[in-house]
Amino acid sequence: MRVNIKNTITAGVDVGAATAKTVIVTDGKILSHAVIPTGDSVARAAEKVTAAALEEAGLSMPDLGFVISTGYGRNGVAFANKAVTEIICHAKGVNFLIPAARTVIDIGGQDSKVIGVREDGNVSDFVMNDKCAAGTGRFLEVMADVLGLDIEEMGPVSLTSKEPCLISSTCTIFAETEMVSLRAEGRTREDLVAGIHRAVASRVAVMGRTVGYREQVVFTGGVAKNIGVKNALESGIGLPILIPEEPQIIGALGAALLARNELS
Amino acid sequence: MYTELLKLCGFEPDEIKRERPRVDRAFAKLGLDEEDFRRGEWRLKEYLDIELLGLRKFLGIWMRELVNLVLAREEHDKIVYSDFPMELRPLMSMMLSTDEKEVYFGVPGQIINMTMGQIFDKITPYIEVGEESGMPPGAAHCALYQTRLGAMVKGVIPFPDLSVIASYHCDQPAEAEELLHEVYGVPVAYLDSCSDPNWGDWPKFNDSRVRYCSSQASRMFRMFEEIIGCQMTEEAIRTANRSNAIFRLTFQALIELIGHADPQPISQASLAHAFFLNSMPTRDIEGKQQALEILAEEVKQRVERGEGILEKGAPGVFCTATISVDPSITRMIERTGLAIRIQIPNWLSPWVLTKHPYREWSDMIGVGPCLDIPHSCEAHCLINLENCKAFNVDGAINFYPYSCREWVPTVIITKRMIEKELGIPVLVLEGDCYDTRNYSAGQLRTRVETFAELVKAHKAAKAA
Repeated sequence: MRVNIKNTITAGVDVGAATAKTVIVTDGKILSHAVIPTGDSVARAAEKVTAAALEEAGLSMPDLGFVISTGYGRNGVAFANKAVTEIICHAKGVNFLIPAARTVIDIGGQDSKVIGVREDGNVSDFVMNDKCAAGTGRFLEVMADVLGLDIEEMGPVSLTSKEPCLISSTCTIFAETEMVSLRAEGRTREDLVAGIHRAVASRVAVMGRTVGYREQVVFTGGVAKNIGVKNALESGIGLPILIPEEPQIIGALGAALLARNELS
Repeated sequence: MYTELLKLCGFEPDEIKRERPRVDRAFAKLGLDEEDFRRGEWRLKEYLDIELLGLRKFLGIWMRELVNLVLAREEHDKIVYSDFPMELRPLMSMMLSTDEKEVYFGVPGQIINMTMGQIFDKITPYIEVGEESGMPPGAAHCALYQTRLGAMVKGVIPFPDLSVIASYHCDQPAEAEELLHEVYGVPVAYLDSCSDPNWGDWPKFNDSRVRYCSSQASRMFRMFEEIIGCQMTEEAIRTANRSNAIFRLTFQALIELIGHADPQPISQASLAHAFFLNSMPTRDIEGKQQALEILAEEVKQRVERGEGILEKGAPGVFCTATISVDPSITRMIERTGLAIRIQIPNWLSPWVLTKHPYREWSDMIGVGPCLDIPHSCEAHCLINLENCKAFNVDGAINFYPYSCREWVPTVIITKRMIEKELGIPVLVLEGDCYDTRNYSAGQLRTRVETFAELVKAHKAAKAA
């Protein structure tokens, strides 16, 4: 796309494993955002989600001064002027919304990250897991399927647990087997779900120790919508956690803000 | 079919013509076809500074060694294998004590990695057969040893009459060669060592450890003489030591030149082809030295002309991701705009060698330089730190190779040590030195691109 320096409206497009997100900003304000499933084509998802965000803002593609793509599909967004990693974008997006944030925990569909954030929104250090489904949204999806639950139900269900199960396997496949055994032992659905949340949180909490957890800790990504994982993470790292209103769009927001910097 | 590929590997037309029957036989055994040759050509052009004659000559040495290895049983009476981490000088001393026509000497794992891996990207079938033949997946076996076993079991390369191996760095050779001995009946001359000093001992060496290593070396030499039926000669030892010293000195000078040059004159992926000859005995001593001198001169000219593969002023990093089967990760790092100043284990710092209390003695028996590397976890960390200081880098990439018992224990300690002492960013990059199934450039790209931004920001802040 041609860079239009006269136009201060910019967009960030985050194409993740599960969902594609676009955020449109101008002068430090979010004009609109959209989220859709990524589906089978990164290019199509990017176009579709950006069109949706533009429509919501009453804009069209030529109105955008600069577009930055991010996420695992960042290099497949043909209309983007630049691609930036989601780690940098998450730090920037969180810093914009919560300037006191110093640590970001991002759990998405296929990976998880712990990011150290400087006062200026730049990354100080990071660690990432994208080799193993345990500790990611995918792990939760598999377990929800085993239990016959919708993914959205898991958080509220876990809150009524009296005695969370201990899921000792760190591998998704073995954890699934373990779940089936625990269910056969008669453990309640609530305890099983709470145990699953603990397993995810424990995996991420340990991974992030190399970066270190400093307040304020902010939780982003689709999994941040799960209150059970949030609670388990707080207990795992021993610090309170904030969740932005729309945790899924933080990467796209950061990308849109970085795009704005490109114009200046 | 493969003429263009061999030309890229420094073969002259008359050599291609002369060697064609041998090459045909070897490539047929390796199952290489037109698609492989096309892929090989593409990879050489994509990842390496293939326009450099010195590099092409090194590629030629590796390719000839591959052909020699595959045809070893047809052409020689006896075969001796070794592999990393066995040190080069004792191997060369043994090799040069034998008759060239009678005895073949080689390091099959490394040769296959540098050719079937680096050039053809076709290493996995060997690893899979290794996994089916006694080194199963999921047991954290080193893929270097799975590869060599797989190649033998597949019948691509012959089983040897003797395997000479060491445990300087890890226990994997011992385990792998026990299998080779017990299941396949191959005699093994094994140099045991123990790497267990206390933290704080470095750079002092434990006296009893050195004596133990010495007795093991003597035992290994005796076994070699008995099985191969030859006498180790003083002349062979002297020639091995001399040629090795000359090569290493030239190599160190080249590393210094590249590490301090701005812009980075050549890719570290290209340099790997020279580096890994530090572990492979070849009878082409003259060719090896000549290739290095040509490469050094070409690099010098690039530096003088101010030419490089990156922009001048690019942030410099220390990087331990030396992957012998695959140049793509090194190139990916460089293509994010990071200049790799130094890539351990490419360079044994002179300061390490000069402090070595047993240098003279170990030089004499031909195990000197290797004693420097496996001193301890502490030595690992401190050598990495000193290299960061020596090349004044802006960041460090500390490779975390799965299944490598030598490197893995120190990765996080080193990260913390460098961050604390030098205040520069350090990336831990997971992967594998010998098994490309354990990572992908695409997967690692997000980490490396983010890290590149960190290093650039850090450098800019420092300058301001």
